[in-house]
Amino acid sequence: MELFNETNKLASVIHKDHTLLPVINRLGIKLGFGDATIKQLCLINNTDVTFFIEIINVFRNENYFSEKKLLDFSVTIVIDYLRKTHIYYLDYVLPDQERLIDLFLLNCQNDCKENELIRKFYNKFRDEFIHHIEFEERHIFPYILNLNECILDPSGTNAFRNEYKGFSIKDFEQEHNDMDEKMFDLENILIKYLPPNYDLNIGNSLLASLFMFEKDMKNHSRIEDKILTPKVRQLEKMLG
Amino acid sequence: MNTPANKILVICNSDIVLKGLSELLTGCDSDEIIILHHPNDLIDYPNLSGYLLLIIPIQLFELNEEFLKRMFSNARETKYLFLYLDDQNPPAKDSLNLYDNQSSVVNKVNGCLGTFGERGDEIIANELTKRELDVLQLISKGLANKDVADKLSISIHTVISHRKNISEKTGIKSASGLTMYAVLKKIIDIDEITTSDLI
Repeated sequence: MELFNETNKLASVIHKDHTLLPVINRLGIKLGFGDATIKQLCLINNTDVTFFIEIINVFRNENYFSEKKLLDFSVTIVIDYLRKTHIYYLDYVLPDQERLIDLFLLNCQNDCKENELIRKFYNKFRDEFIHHIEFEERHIFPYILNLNECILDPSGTNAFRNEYKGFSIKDFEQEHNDMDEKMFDLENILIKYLPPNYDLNIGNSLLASLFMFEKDMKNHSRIEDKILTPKVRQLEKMLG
Repeated sequence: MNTPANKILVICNSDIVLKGLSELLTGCDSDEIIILHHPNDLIDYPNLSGYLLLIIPIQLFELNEEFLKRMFSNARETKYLFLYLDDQNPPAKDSLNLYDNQSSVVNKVNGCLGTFGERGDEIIANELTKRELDVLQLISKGLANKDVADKLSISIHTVISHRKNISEKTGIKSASGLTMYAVLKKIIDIDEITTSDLI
């Protein structure tokens, strides 16, 4: 699979892979971009072009991961991207999936007691997922941003040390596996074991949404585990 | 999950060859095609896993053999097709040469892809055994591995091994996923579980 670069027209990039749309939105770019290249659009929208290119390539290509390039970005830009991703999940993806599940259950004929389990399973996954996001937003991201501030301006170091006594990113290295596993199970249950009394089209929409979410979530975890965490370890070492 | 993805990896420093091959390879049964100019570009592709078919000029392979094998250490299985870019007696087996036609290229590549995983370690029958069903029933009711072991008078290691097999056969890994599976397949009755705790 080819890698995109700054001279590509964004329109042709999206024609090749429309699943990148939510990703480019998070990077500050909206539809209606005419024939502009990635470089031109990033300039207009004040988006870091190198970061943009790396993020879309990592997203499109599951095996591509240029750690060297990605480790060069500041934690601020990475966290900004991760936060926008969180907002997208909380404000759009999860409510949309709940809506699909409601429709899915509404349309099922006869006895739907078993299908109701799908809602319960999904809700359990959703609650865990929201908890994970909130923990990052409330504790981990502020810690990292404060740490980064101390590196830029050491005058705040003492206050930082007092506030985060004994804190280290290694205490927070969270397992993403658990949620990936549940998502995979849910997809497999729908694909392989769904009883036949359901609405075809809504079932398909639900599954399509789960697949897209799974891809996005894996990519998100990869950025957290492989980029953010090593960067923070680097910063912790610098602070000593 | 039972059949890991297979990937074709083409490494060649000629753009003409790379573009030509990637065009021809679109007709093959692979899940993904990765095109690279030089073995060093693999640095940006850490942790390649699953089944890999590497297509590479023989000279380039020989120069980088150690490095390539190290980069593929996570692969389930690796196969090679060597590219011969001149027409001087290329060997018939495991090779592609510059003057092969499209169907010959596709056949050779699909031939390689088709033999992945032929080592008898794939699960053929996905039916759960009687014992696995017993274990699944108890797990679905929320019992921990240790309690399942006590109840069935088997060791905890045996329970874990049954669980692994159940997950491989059904494609479901989490405990709550297994409960859902057991209900949908009528292995346990929905009224036997308190869904609020288990799912």
